[in-house]
This record gives sequence, C-alpha cells and structure tokens, in this order.
Amino acid sequence: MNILRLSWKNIISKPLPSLLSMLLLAVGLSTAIILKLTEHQLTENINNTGKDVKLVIGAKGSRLQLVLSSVFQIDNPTGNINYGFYTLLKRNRMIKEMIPVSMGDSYKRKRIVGTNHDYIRLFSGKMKDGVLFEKPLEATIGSVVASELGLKVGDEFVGGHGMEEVLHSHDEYKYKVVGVLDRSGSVLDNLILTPVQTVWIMHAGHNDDSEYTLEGTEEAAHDEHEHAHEEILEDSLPQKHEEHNHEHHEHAELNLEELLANIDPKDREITAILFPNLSGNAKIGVLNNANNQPNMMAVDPAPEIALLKNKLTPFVSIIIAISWFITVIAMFSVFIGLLNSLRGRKYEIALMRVLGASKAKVLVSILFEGIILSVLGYLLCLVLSHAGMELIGNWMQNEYQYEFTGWIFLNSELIYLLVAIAIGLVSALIPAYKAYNTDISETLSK
Amino acid sequence: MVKINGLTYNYSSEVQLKFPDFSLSKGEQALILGQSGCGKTTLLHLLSGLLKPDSGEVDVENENISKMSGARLDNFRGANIGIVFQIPHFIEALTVKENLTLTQTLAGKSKNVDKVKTLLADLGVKSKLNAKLNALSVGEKQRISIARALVNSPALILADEPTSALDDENCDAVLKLVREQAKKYNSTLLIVTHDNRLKDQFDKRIEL
Repeated sequence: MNILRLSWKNIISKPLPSLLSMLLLAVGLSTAIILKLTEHQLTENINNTGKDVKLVIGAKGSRLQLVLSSVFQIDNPTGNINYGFYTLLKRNRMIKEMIPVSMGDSYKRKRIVGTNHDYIRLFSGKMKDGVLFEKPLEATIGSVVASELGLKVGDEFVGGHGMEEVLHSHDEYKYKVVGVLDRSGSVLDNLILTPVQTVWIMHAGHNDDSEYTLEGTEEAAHDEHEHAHEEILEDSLPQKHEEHNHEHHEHAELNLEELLANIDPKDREITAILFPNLSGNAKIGVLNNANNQPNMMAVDPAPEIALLKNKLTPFVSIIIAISWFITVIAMFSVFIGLLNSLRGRKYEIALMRVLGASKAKVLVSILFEGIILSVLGYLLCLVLSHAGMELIGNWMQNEYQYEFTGWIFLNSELIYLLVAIAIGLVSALIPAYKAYNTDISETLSK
Repeated sequence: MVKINGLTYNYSSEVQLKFPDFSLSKGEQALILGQSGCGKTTLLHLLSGLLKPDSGEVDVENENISKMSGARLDNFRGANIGIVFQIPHFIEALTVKENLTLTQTLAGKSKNVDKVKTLLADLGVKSKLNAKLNALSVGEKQRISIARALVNSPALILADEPTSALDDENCDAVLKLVREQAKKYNSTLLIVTHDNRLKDQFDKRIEL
C-alpha cells in the first residue's frame, strides 16, 4: 500500500464528488479540444482545397460567395457565365490550365458538378473503381457519395435541379455511374462529377423558367464574346454561332450528340472557371479581362479566405473564453472537493503521521489526489472531445461538403494533459498545505 | 528502554504540567493512572513525540526523542512506537488488510500480509481481513487497532484509555489480548487510563 494507491483509494471512496470534479474538468478541456480539432480540419481542408486555385472567374456578386461556392462547394453560386468565354480563353497560350465548373443540380443533397478531368487532378483524385466520365450523362462519384448513397459503377440515378432542395427532377435523362473515386479528404469525396455538357442537356428546354438564364440578351452575350476577343485572343477566330433551333424541345427522341449540337450557344453556361497555376502577367491579363466583362468578375481566393478567417476570429475567441471559464470552474470544483474531503479526514491525516508518515508524504498524497483527478478528467475529456467531434462532424459534413472526423489526434492535445495536471496541482495546493500543517496532537485529543 | 526525566509541558502560563520521573525496562508492562484533565494524554503525546516538552527529556530505545524532529522523528515513531487510541480511527477508504499493510509501509517496512493474518487470527478477527472499517463493531475495531499497534513489532506500545469505551466483557478480552501480544513480541507496554477495572491487574502503577 503506497501513497499513490492510498490517494487513489481515497478518490474512489467518494465516487460522486470525484466524478463531478472530473466531469467539469473534462467538459472544459473538451470544448477547447473540439475547437482545436475543428480548426485543424477546417484549415487543412481550406489549404488542401484552396491552395491550388489561383483565380476564379464567375458571375458578378459577392466575391466570397463565388470562392465558397465554386472552390469549396459550400455556398450557392453567384450566377452563371457563358461557356463562350471559356472557349475564348482556351485559345490563350499563356493560360496553361483552366477548369470549368457548373453547379446547380444535386442528387440526394450531393452536388452534381459539371467539369473536366483537370478538376479531379486538381485535388489529386484517384480512381477506386471504374473510369472517369467521358460522355455526357456519365458520372464519376466521390467516395462519400458512394458509401452514403450506396451507389456503385453501373448504377443509374435521376438528378434534380437545386442544391439543397430539389425544385424539380430531370427525369428525362438518367445519370450513369461509370467510376468511383478513392477517398481524398478534399471536396471530391462529396461530389458527383460529370462533363459540363451533361448540365446543358439536363437544362435544355428548362431555360425559360429557370434561374440559369443569363440576365443579358443574346446580343449582350454576343458583344461579350467580341469584347473578350479583342482583349485576350492572340489569334482571333470568329466564334461560330449555331442556329437557333427550337427542335431541342423534343430532345427525348433525339440522340445526345444531336441534342447537344442544337443547344443555343447562349444557353451553354457554366458557373465558374478555376485557374490552377496561374501567375504573373497571365494572371493580371485574365483578371483585367474578366473584370471588364459586364456580368463577370475574377477573384483571387487567397485574400478572400484570409478575410473569412478574420471574420471567424471573434467567434473562436468566444468559444475559447467559454472553455477557459468552464475549466476555471472545474479547478474550483477540484479545490472545494478536496477541501471538503479533507475536513472529514483530518483525523486520518493525523493518524498517518502517527504511523510514521512525514509531513512531506502527507502533502504529496493530497497533491496526488488532485493530479489523479485531473489526469482522469483529461482521459474522460479525450473520450468526450473525440466522440463529440465525430457527432459534430457528421452534422457539419452536410453543411460544408467535407468530412470532419473525431478520430484524429493532434500533438497539441498532449499540452492539455499538462494543463490538466497543472490545474490538479494548483487546486490541491491549499488543501495539501493544510494537511501538511495539521497539528497531530490537537487533532488526536479531540 | 523507556525513561522520562524532569518532563514539563505548558499549555499556557496558568496550565503547566509536571510529570514524575519513571523508567520501564524492555518487555515491562505498566499502568499510568489519573483523573481526567491531569495530563494523561499529554504525557502519551510527549512519549510518542507528537508533542515537544518544555523541559526534560524522553528516551525510547536509548534515543532522546525530545531532540528529534521532522521526518526522522516521524520515521522513528512509525517503526518503534505503536499506539492504541481510546476511540479507534482508521483510514475509512481502505479495508482492514490495507490499513495494516499501509501501517507497515508508512513505517518504512516491507509489506507482510502473513504477519497481518497471524495478528488478526491471534486477536480473533481473522474473518475481517478484507472487511471495510465501517462494517465493524466498536469491539472489533479496537482489536484491529491493537493489531495495527503491533504490526511493526514496536519496542513500545502506548495505549490511551483502550478499554474505557468497552463493556466489562470486552474490556477483559481486549486487555488480555493486548498484554499477551505485547509479551509475544517482547514490547514494552504502557497503558494510560482512569479505568479502575484495570488497576489491580498491574504490578507497576504510576499515579499522576
């Protein structure tokens, strides 16, 4: 029976007050750790997803909204831009890589994104099963989409218009899953990817009543093209305008190729263009060009993200303050708990001294009680915080298109062990000193 | 073995206690008698080093414990002096066995469960080895406190009114046990009491 065991026995002989102290400490520290875990994963996500996109072009609106919607797949898009602008930029040799993204549809709350293969390369996506989409209506899906919706290669599904709630379903055509991606920890996991042409096919015939129509007239779109021509095209080729063909309303009977060919250029829209690896003069050129278009803007994501982080700082500070507040209360709880327990054990302390324990040994035994309580509180906090994070993560996944998990451990969590031990020590200090100074003779005479 | 010489202790300038000189040889058993308030417990605390005398000295095992202090004194007390209190107190969070092995380790000795078992058997409370203290009667508790006083085979056993809380039957039994056990381990036994039931059973009596 050593001192450490004695301290342990004293703690478990009063389970309820001990549990209360532990729980308070655990809740206080858990709040701080959950915040850390969220912050870590959010930062990682922002870095993984955002770092390779140097410029975004989309419809005029909120700059942050454009970045959030087209890079992070969080917010609603600001609107659409004409695909013509993309094909024009395509001819600029200074631009090495550009990725169209087209959003607006979803299947069971998972976003359908019309894009090209570069989009998957941008996030280092790897095939797990099947192949990449090639033809319209083919879909390559993210790992979370596959596991949550139970989709596999060969399955077919009907998408719908709208991202949160489906306003109407595009039941004329079915998507066909041709590939499933490996888990990448990026936005890919939660997306359904398909060629941009799929989106046009889905929306052909819906344009009159859909929000997808550009505000400008056909004329405006035409002007826009020419304007773009002069600005950036080195070898200008006349844009080929296809004839307006109303036959596409009977698209159900036409084959896809024919249908596509019949879609009016003004109806060929995308939500945004992402530019990886764009810098220097090329970046400035594209930026100026896009900003000169009547309905477009070009946004550098980095400063927008920095601005967003700044906006979040006060909220993070409040949560940190709350977690410290709970932790300080926990400290008082350990302190009062020990003081109470010692009041009833005054005679036992004197007895220990009679039996040969030195003053120092008595002091240490009480400090041990504080430390044991705080270490147990810390262990409980690890369980609470990671299980809590997992729960919160499941909820946030739907909001942020990114899988938050409770099953990661950060080195910084170990610092909280030191914090916990310090709290245990500090709260045991006064009770331990009181025990240290117990007048044995007087106590035993009572 | 135990010797006191010119011992005084002052609670205040009005309450001053002066104790008669006496000495006990190894294995001797003696009674200190006196009415309440005459300083019996004070003497016991002086003898065990829980109190420091204002003058005079206490020798136990040829060591002047009045001159010892701090951890050295605590250690000496734990190893050489066993005390039986009027009202037996224990560490309530521990079992009987744990209380006794803690007594061994606090005195700097190694844990010896066999010794604990032998003692409990001798004192007739063998079955209480793993019992919690709050499940025991006063008589059982007093036997276990005797076991605790003996578990380190101390040179000196001090008992403070060990029988005054017990009925006649238990009084006789407890007294008999404590004397037998002291004899078995060749410990010097000094009982402080005002219990007249014990008076005639001891040859050596010191009146305060």
